[in-house]
Amino acid sequence: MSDRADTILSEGIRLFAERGFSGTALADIERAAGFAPGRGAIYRYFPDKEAIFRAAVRREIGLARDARVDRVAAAGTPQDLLERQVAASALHLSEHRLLVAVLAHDGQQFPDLLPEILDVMVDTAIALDAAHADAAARDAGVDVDGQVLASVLLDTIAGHALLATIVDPRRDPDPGRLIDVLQRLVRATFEPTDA
Amino acid sequence: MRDARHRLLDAGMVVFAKEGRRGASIGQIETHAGLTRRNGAFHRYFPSKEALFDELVERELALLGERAVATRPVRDPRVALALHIDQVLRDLAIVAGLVAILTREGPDVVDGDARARVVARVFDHGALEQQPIAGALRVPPADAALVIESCATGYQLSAQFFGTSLGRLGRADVVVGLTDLLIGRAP
Repeated sequence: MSDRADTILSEGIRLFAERGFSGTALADIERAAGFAPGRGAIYRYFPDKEAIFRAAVRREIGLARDARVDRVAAAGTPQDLLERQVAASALHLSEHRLLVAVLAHDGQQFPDLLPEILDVMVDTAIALDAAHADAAARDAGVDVDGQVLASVLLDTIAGHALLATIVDPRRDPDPGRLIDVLQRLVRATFEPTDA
Repeated sequence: MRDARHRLLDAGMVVFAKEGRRGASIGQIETHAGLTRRNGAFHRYFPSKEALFDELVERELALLGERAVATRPVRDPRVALALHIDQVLRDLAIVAGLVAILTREGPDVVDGDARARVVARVFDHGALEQQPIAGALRVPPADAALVIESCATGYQLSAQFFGTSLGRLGRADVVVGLTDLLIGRAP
């Protein structure tokens, strides 16, 4: 892909994430990507705004997929693995929070893109976390539903990325504190009961 | 029929959601409210588009449940926390339309403190610092608040599309799962 086209997509995804598809004008993208607005030069690369949106989301999905960390180095107890997976997922979703924001703004309008975004951002991570959590519960002899725990963790991680991106931009998007809190909660969950 | 003022507010909600706060015009709001365009009807009730929006924010916030009622004395910390989490999820769903309007034009649109007001109201976690919840939490209240806000936001996003959480949990399971995580299961 040419550098110009790549610039259009990277500026496009940033604007779509901030403002949504309908809130972003083609002229906004032209300006951000260094084109003179309204002169039509951008049409040499993409036929219209929707084509830019789709290509930008696909590009971001590809980047997120390449960076996916669902095979965190395998040595360790299930609880270690779960804790590391929580950190990896939080960093991943934070890194690719523009994709989460696009999902929030326009998932309804482009339902065909939903499965791919969910697959790369959520589903694999939940399956892995649930397996780790079930194994950790067996090890510790505590009663924990791995699927429920994994789902709650992922909702929390995705929600954190979203809060700072679009709901409340004054927030620090750094997931460091959330990771620390969630890891403490996971440790407490698998502490053998003193009873 | 609701009076013109109410109809203008209702119309504002629809037009702002569709056109954004920049794109919405007073004429569109009047038309949608069933009033004659540019007849001065709008300005009899509101000095400006911004003033209407401001009142819209207040009206939506007034729909939220009274926290004091939700956190009435309950002795079991698990029950008290579950009630609090449930209230946050409920409130976030109620203001979802307003949040969509507030966020659709990005952070550069001046909204006074509307966004901050909505966030502060929905994410009021006073209950976490009081008994019986405070003494039972596995982490300090401020940390628990961060987890609840994040989880509620993730759930709300997902529920808009799927009616469930990202992990396909229903709302009751999210409330229980989050309560388990923050306090632990009942012995």
